[in-house]
Amino acid sequence: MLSAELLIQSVMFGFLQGGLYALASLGLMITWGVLRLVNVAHGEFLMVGAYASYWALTLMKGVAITTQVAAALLTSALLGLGLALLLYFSVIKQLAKVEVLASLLGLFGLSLIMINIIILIWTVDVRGVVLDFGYVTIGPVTLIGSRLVAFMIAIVLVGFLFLFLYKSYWGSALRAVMQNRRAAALVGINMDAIYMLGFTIGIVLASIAGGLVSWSIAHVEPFMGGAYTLKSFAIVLIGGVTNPVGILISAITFAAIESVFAVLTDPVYSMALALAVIVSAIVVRGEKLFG
Amino acid sequence: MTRVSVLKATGMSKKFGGVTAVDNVDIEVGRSEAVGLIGPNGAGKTTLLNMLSGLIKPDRGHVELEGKSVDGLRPHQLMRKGLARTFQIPKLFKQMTVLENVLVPLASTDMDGAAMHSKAAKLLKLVGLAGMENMLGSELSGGQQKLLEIARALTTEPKIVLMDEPLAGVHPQIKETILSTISDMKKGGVSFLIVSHDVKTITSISDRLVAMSSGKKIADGVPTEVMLSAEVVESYLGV
Amino acid sequence: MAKHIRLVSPIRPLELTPITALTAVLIAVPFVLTTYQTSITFEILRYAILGMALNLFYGLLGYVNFGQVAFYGLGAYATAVSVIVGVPLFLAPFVGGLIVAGLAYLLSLPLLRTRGIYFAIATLGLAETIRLSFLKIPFLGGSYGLVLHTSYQLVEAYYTLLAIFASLLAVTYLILKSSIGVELRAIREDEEAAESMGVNTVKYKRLVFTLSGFYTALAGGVFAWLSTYVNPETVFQTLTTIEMYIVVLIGGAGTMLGPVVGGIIFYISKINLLVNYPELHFLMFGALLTITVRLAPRGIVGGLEQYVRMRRIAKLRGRRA
Repeated sequence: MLSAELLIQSVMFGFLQGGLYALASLGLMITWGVLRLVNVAHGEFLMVGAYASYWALTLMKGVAITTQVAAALLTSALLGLGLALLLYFSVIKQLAKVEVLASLLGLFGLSLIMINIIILIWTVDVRGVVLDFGYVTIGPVTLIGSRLVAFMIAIVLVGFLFLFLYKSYWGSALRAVMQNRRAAALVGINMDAIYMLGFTIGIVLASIAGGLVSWSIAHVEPFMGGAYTLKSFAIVLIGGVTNPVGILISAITFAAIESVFAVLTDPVYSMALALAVIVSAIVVRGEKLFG
Repeated sequence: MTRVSVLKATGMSKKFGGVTAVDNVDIEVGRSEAVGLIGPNGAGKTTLLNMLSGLIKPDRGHVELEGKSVDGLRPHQLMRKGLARTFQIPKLFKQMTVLENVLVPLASTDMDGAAMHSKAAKLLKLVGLAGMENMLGSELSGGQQKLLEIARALTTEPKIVLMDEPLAGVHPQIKETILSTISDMKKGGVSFLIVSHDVKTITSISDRLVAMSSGKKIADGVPTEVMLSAEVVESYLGV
Repeated sequence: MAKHIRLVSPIRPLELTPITALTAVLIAVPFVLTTYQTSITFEILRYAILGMALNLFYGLLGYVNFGQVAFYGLGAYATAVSVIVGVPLFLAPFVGGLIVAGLAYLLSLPLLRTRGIYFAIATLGLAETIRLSFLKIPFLGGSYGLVLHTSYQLVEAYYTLLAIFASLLAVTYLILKSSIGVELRAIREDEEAAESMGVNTVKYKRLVFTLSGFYTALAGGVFAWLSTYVNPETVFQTLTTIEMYIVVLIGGAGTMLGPVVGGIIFYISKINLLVNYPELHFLMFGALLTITVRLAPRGIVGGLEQYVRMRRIAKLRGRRA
């Protein structure tokens, strides 16, 4: 029933989706690795970024498409930045010091607040603006232009992230803290600054990913966050919490598998797949993932 | 004279990733004997202790308690068999009271409530913490926490107590209390295996010393002998 | 394996008075109040039970189970299926509860090999998988669920719930007063140290997980009895798990009466909210959760207990000085 053509098509489709997943997951990796904060509200930040970008696009109807993309990108990034800073100083800083498990609940509460605020402004209707980039045909495979562009933007951003993490002082400091908190503090790294930086970057990445979703997948609704949170966790757990390259690879692989599964069976089952992966990964690898 | 062996471990080995933490170490502690375990940082002393107390599974090795094998037993089972331990940084139950801290090991025994309370009170008196029953673990000073840690370990009348740096960073007065508690317990038939940096003090209460370096045992014998051994001196002066 | 429960703290009649008074009042409710008011009390009891059951695991043991609602939904379904195959209505919730207890025990074997955050996410994932499965499994009704062809029996269901509530109170009280309570709290404080001090951590974690699941399932079963209808969207909502945590947190995790107080406050607030500001109810839940965690992590009863403790210590110190 599954022709080779359909298979390749769905793999490629998933591949493109993987770029977005990678962006979101890397954001989760940073908040988790740097702040030891298990951000169960991660998907909601993505969702909020999606709405911000959607809003910008509704204001820019008729403008050149590249400007639209730029505007969407900028809006979601700025919102992510503002939200991160606001939340960091009011809630997160203290939450990170509280017993880890209590902070989980606090973050859950935050996610509910964000969802409700979005519902008040935009209702529960599904939204999205499809930007028309046409189609690209490579051999037997036809790719939707907007998804390809979103993928490319995501990859470029991931590239910048890698450059930052591996070639800049602050990026290396971030990685040091992710790997060994105590040692990093002893070496003289400004922990407060790192926490703030880590949290902000993590949230901004999520919110930009959301922005890309709003015009490529173009399915935005207040409850979309949960799925992204779970998938990001699955990807981070498989790839390794301190391993950005691993996460990138596992994001794309995950998306490809998910896509094939969705074609073969039911979208509901693809969700169940993500969950089965997380649960098994956790139970089998347990705490050795983190140390 | 055949020494009655309380704890006998042979061939203990553990690797973490690529690093060999403990390499084929044999160690034995007799009844009423205090053995000091010395060595520079990273020698593998704490890892060895963790294996002996069941917290880490050894890659290889065999442990016997009073002649019977205890391989693979979990820490709580080892405790029931008479092996107790203290931790370098006291792992007290901070939000529980001093009394409750000492009750925990008793809770898993068959004693009834009144017996548990009187036992706990007795032990707290022994280490000089009587009167502080209702204070929370977190409210004690560092030295008091160490004392509580020890009281807790002694509660189930162990046959051997593994101690990790019991004297580190402790007020001289409390040090005295700890040392005298150890020597009193020894007279009562309890054995000790004590990891310590403070070689001088540990020598004063140890019947034997075992020295480790880079995971291997490099000396085992009477304190004066061990302290004079070339390898031991080098291990401390070297890297 | 005879588990003999030894009391470590004495039973104080003073502590028992509020509970007995409360139970007496609750017994009288169906006679004294209207049907509507009785159903409100039913709901409060339901939340109190869910809170107390969660309290055993989260409050006493310190583990966060983000999939707690799964026990509830499974209990509801197991009860519904029991009724459909012919089990008498008043026994059905207990049959359902026992089935779920068995399941909970089996699940505890792999799940409790993880701790902390990992356990929380694993349980969340598992609960969601269960919900999705129930949406799809045809012979369990799929998204339409199952219908019990029975009538609305508020009084019978109410008294069953009350009995469950009373037994859970008793269980919690005994645990807190006994050696088991000491061992559980030790695990919560420092699992490694507890294990090293002779506490069989694995046994207790599994026991409490199963007990918590059992009582949660009982509540789900009685709910199924009362609503005569179960479907995945109603009984497997993640929001229910959040509600359970709010109940425990507001009241005070680890205390006996905390979840009861929390249940009352929570449910009253919830109906008020739904009536007056339905569009804000997520926000209020979320705010409640975040604020409680941040500002009042001990909850009402917990805070009271701490205050009393502080006063006692200060008096002792003052006396000695």
